[in-house]
Amino acid sequence: MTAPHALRARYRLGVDVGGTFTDIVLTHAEDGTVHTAKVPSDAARPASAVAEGVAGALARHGVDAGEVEHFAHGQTFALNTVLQRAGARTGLLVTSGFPDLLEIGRLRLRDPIDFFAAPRRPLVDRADVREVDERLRADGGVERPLDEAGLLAAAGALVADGVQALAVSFLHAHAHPEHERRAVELLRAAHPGLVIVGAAELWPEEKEYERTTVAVLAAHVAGLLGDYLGELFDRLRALGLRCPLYIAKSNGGVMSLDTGSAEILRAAVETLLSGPAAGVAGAIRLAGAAGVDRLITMDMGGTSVDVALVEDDIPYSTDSVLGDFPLIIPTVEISSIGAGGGSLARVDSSGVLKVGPRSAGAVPGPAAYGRGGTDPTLTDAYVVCGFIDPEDFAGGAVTIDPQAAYASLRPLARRLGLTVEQAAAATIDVATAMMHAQLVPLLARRGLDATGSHLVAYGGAGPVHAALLARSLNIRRVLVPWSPGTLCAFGALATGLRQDVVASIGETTATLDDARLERVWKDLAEQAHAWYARQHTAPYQRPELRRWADVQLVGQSFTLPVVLPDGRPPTVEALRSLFADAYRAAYGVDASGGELDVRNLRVTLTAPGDPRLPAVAAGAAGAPREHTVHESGERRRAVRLRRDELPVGTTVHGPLVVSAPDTTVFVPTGAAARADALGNLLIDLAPDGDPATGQGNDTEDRRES
Amino acid sequence: MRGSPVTREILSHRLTAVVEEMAETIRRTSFSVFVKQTADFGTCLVTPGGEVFAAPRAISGNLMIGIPARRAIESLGPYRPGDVGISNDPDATGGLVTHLPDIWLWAPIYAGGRIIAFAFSFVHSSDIGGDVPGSISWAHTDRCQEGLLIPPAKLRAAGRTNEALLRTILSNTRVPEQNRGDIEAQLTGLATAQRRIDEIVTGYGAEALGDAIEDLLDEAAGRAARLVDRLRDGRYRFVDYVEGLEEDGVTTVPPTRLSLELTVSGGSTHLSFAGTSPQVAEAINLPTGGEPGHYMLVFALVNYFCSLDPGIPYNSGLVRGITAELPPGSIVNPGPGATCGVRAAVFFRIMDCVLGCLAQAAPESALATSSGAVAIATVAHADPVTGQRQVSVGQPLTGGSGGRPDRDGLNGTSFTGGWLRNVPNELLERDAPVLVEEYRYRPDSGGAGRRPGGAGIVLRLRALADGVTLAVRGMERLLFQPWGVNGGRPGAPGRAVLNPGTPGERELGRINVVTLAAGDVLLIETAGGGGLGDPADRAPDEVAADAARGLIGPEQASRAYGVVLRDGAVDAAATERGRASPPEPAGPFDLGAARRAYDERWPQAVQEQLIAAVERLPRARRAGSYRAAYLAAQARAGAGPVTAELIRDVIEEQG
Repeated sequence: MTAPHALRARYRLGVDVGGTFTDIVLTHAEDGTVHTAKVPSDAARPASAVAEGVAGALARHGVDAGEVEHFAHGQTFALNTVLQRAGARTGLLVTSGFPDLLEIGRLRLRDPIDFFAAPRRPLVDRADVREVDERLRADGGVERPLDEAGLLAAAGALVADGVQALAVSFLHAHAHPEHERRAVELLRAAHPGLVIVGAAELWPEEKEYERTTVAVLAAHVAGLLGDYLGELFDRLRALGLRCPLYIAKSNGGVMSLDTGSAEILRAAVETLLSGPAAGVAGAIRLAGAAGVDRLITMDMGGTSVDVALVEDDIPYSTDSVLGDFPLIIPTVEISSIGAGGGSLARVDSSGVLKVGPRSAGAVPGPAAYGRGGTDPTLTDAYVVCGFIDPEDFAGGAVTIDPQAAYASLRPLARRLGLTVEQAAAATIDVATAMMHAQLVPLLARRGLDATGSHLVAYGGAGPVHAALLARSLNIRRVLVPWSPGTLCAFGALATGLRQDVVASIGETTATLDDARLERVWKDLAEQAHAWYARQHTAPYQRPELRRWADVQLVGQSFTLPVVLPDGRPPTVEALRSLFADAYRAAYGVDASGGELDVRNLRVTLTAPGDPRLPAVAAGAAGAPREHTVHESGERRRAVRLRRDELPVGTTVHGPLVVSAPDTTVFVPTGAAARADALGNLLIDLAPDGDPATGQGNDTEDRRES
Repeated sequence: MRGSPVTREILSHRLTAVVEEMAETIRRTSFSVFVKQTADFGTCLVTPGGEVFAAPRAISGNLMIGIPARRAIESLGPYRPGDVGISNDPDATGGLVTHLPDIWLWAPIYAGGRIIAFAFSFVHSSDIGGDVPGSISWAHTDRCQEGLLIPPAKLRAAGRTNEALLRTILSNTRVPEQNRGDIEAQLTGLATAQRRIDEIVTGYGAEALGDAIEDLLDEAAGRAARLVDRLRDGRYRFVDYVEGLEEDGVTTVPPTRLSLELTVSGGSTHLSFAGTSPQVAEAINLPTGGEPGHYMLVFALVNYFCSLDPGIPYNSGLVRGITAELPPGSIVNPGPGATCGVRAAVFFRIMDCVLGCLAQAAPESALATSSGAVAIATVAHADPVTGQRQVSVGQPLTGGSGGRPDRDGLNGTSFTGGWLRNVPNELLERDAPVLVEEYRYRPDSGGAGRRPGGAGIVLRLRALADGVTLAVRGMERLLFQPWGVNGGRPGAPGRAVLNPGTPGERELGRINVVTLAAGDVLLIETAGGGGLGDPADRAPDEVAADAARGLIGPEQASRAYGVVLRDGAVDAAATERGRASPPEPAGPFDLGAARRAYDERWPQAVQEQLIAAVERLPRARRAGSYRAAYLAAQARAGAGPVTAELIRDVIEEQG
């Protein structure tokens, strides 16, 4: 398919719906000028809220809907539906003998020493699980034929009892789909209109629990998500948008929104982390343009910090977790750590200062927001320490009441025997220590050293706290991208089409032959291309394929990803040598003699997005205003500026607070910040140079506070 | 508090980061399948005096609180920067090591030129030599069978590796490359610790760090003491058993008796194991070095503290207030050279004894016991193509947890082995010629109660080829049921049956190793957890919900709960009649029929008499004498009870 090209089309729209706000980014396709907006989200009527937000943004900037050539959307609708278990009541049909599959899961308890641990709660009630008489062996041989009448009777009973969607998952169907496929066919014929998901059809990966979970998630979410996207589609078209519409996926790419109902099942499980994944994609894009390819993203919201550890490319996990559920579909690897701006500070029974895990949330929010909150939050601590400019916050959308922030921290200060300022600084220090403590093991898990990376901060609070976290990790440089409050919406616009497909082959190199490798990878490539053919591809660059495999030594239970480089013939010998390299890199051990167990083959198709970057308004130097901050127990004179008062090339020195409509950047004492031509603010925590690295100092336009 | 409460909180997070980074480093770079699959490794930071002040809670296993580190530390002093100690010697490390596959490393951590701490880590290696692959067998009666013993030695001295020692170790195992990987992973982890402590000292100073360490330990000790204060003062006893062996109805190995008396007075706890069986010839002895707060004695107590006070610092301060009597030569404090590969069975049963005592000391927060066993099933077969022997990855088999205050027991898993991950059945079937016919919760297995015990697991598999060998080690609770408490009933015992429902049906007991022919069916049912509280107090609707979830059948609903179900719905009138009959009066514990019968045959006083008599013998003779006397007395008693006279006679005859 190709994009219907509208005559006057010249704008691109990115929209990200979060829990509290919907972010909108409108860019001019030719000159790259950018407008951003934040409007309140409305969980009760999500599609119309988006459409109204879009209509408002277009009207404000005098853009006709017909002039929009591209629309990309990140959503949290599917995720919220799962987390609130608000989707369809789902029935599950499984191979006889395995009715507790979802509850047993992989056994391991989240906290094995907590005697009061709550059990995992599956998305399907056990009473809505039915066993089906059928069985295939691992080699595909028929152990017991499919009892078609029994299947239909079981499904009929579930539907009669009020089940609204059905998932089917039979053992070994990922490799031998005959029974499951037949069952799905029979059920679709018997219950037209009902959402019916075959696990192997959706995601044919070995591991019955995880694969079944994929099917159950899809069945639970698909109906409501389809309604939402359908309504959004209609409303956007009604507004006059005629361009192709895209939705952001958890893998950091996008897919066309209007490709038909068959894709909804996949969309349901492939867009669960749509917004955060697009944010990471956006951060990588902007950092990459600034020449930064090793970075830690830091997206700080109300309750936590979402981090991704990036080396060149988007980091993927095929083993992520969403609440109670494992997700084996490749997903941008994002971890939630530490505390967020709304995290509450308190003194516990032992007299120790604690931050979180409870949060003041959007309502009542931090005390300083004046919305009824009285308990101290991290944001209140920022206000007391002067890390936020009370007179210029969130572009005036929120009025900061410093007295309320002081009042909220006063009881805490009294219990700790500190001044209010000291208590606020202590709250921030504890939050930093929490972030540090949870980030360090994540780095170790990947074998990374943070010191050479940039910390890329976004989200409302990220740029306030970034320099403090960076300092505790010995990270020298922080990058605050252009418009950090709407980076997810920008990321959805900037990223490319992306599709992952998998085939579990489960064969050892003792028997695996080159022909099979070639055949399976070829088949996967065809699946990926078939998907690509259903997309609106015009705005994207030529597609690229990556062939990779999950490989382990025979008898081991943990795989390594092995990527077959372009142009390398897909042979067993190639796998052996690539695996030996990967193994040496990961474990420092020579494993080249061992027989290999090739579990899955994978293909990832990417069609990169528009390489153009936003052109950011140049800004004009303004007069810095006097300000006071409390740092390391000291009251210090500082300055405050608006972001647009920092022309390109300007370097300013901390302590300093820079306010933008969507965030506040805090630059501590001893650090310097430089505005670059791409709209980034680059904070250097050791501007006088680090003798160890021999790196010098920014000298231009030094402006002392 | 010595330091500031703010610095203490900050450094608490920073120290947690250090041990978690060590753990992640080992997890990423080690080789052992135990690390990847069963999280059987650990890291921690220890004071120079031997107290653990930081340990991870979620990444590795949870066996660091209470490790006796002092003897290991002292064995290699004085230290210099860059030194690293190594050992897997239970005796020489005073119970730091509890079986030989656990290879421990430790290193001094310096701040300002003096030792501020030691970093410790261990990995359960895939093999450390000895007479079986994997180095563990219940049948080992001589420590040399258990593999290479490494007395404490400096693997690195001032940064220089002792290559001769390393070569010697690697030359004595079946998987030298894997062992080298595991050791290097640990060395990397230890180096990380020094680097991170350096950063902390740079940022906060050595004095603040020292203060925070002491404050964290004191706080854990103080909060634990407050939890102990909630227990009623008194002496509480509980006796439980590692089961013995029978052949054709005749006992060949007596059960191992674990006797615990918990004394609570004035906020302190004393654990007396007097009356516990003498050490045995087989490899279930638990070397504790006689350390009162030993990790394998206090595990349940530590978990109890952490469960009741979730914010309590996780360190050895939790066990500071514990004193203990561990009779030398008993199974919980065996003499030098005792075999110990399968010591986990004793470890798990001690957990039950501790929970049994706590249930009496705090009846309102009593927990019923878990299925009490972790068995790992591995399938071996000859590959039809290559003819080579293939061994599948182990499938862990554990059962339900006990009923808990305000919460039902957990199904299919428990706190003995809650860190284990299972293997997908699809992988199992692809790796080995077996067909899993069932893998599900075991109906009617959780002990009935106001809060029922969790269900066990049913694993029924059929061999698709001749010569499929299943090795299952660690099955327990096949006879003595997981007990119920405060009116709760015991969970169903575990069992293993070959070809159930056929003329060739055969009970396999603990299994150990069984070879199947094509078509043979092996049924393993793990135990359910014990119930908590009177089943008559469970609401009929909850009973109906249990039935709808397949956890109990209608018969069990009626028999155990007096709830009559018709087509899944509660028959209110019939239920009222069924529930009218008062429940059987019972003490705090329902130990189950088998245990009651055993206590009648072997009255507790008589058991104690036998153990006391054997304790007077020279240590070298105790294991043999105990067994001989036990078997002789039981044989002579016939179907009747064993009496004090009988014990006197057999002991006398043994001289």
